[in-house]
Amino acid sequence: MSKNKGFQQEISTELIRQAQRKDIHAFEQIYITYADACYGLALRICGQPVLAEDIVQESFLKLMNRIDTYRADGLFAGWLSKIVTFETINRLKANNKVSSLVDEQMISEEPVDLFDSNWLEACLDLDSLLDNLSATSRAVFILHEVEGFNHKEIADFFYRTESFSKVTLSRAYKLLRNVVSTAEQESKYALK
Amino acid sequence: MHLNNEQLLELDDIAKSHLACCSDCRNKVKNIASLRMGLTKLPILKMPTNNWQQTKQAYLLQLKEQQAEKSKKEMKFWRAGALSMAASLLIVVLWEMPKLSVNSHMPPEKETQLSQLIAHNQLLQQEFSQRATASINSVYLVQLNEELSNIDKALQHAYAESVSNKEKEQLWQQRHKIIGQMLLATEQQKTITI
Repeated sequence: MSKNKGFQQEISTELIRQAQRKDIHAFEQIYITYADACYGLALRICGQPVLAEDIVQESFLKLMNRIDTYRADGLFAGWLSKIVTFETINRLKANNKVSSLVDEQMISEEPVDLFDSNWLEACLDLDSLLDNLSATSRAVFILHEVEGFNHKEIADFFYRTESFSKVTLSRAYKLLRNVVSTAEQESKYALK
Repeated sequence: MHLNNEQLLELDDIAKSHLACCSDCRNKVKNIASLRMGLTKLPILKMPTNNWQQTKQAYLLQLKEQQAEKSKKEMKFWRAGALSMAASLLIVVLWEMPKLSVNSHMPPEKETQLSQLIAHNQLLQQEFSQRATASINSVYLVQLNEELSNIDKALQHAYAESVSNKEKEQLWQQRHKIIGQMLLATEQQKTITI
């Protein structure tokens, strides 16, 4: 077992083989290794602790039922994080939390220079900052910027086009920058 | 023309070649890298409770349900096979019955014995069909069913080839024995399930 955290942790191929033979102790080891990472991902996207716990359980049930379909052509953790992401997005869709905008409506707005500085540096509570985003924007932001999925993969999760993912991410950055700028201005006024 | 925000956030080959000759865009990419570095500081969220036992129970329950469903399907499959075999056998027997009574050189009491044996077989078959509606998960039963199918085939062949009644009687007795064992096995299965 590696010393990394979250989905960066690796498990041995032997443990995966044991799990593929439906060994319950192997499943338990996988659960112990990745449960927190799965919970963190689900919670950051859906924003509801109880729902996130439920998503983790459902995702592990899917993992246990489908583990024989896992081919070692990618990281096991990556495979698991996709299961969790699909489960979370499906729950959001079921609760009508996913934006119903069609892709044609996702046109880019006027260009704003979002990356002229590292404006996130001043932000101390990143999780609270991300709470300002809608469920869809937060999901796209977390998946692309934190979990490292590309636009094509994110589009697949949502059954949408790549441009949906690109525009949603860009808009999310724009909104976050506005929130950070407003907070900075407010604190300046407060000091005066 | 500089790269737009979307291009900067996920660089494709065109964007990468642009970066080679544009310091403004390179700086923006550096800023994005810093922003992303900041995001790695997101704290690790821990599950409030360890739900492994709950997950394990749910998994074992699912497994049990899946196995029951599988056995039910298997049972349905070979029950249908056994029934169709028995039905075709019955047709052959009914077809041959008049010939038996007219042409047979068997003494009447022997003839009655064979008819009774056939009738009893049919009764046992009916009883087994009724019991087999419950989910049965037994390798032994599957083996017995295989044997029954073989006997049925042999009986069909016997009637088609008009073999002697003595041979037919032996086959019917074997069939009677097997179906009796099957009934007993379903009875035991039922007891175990209870």
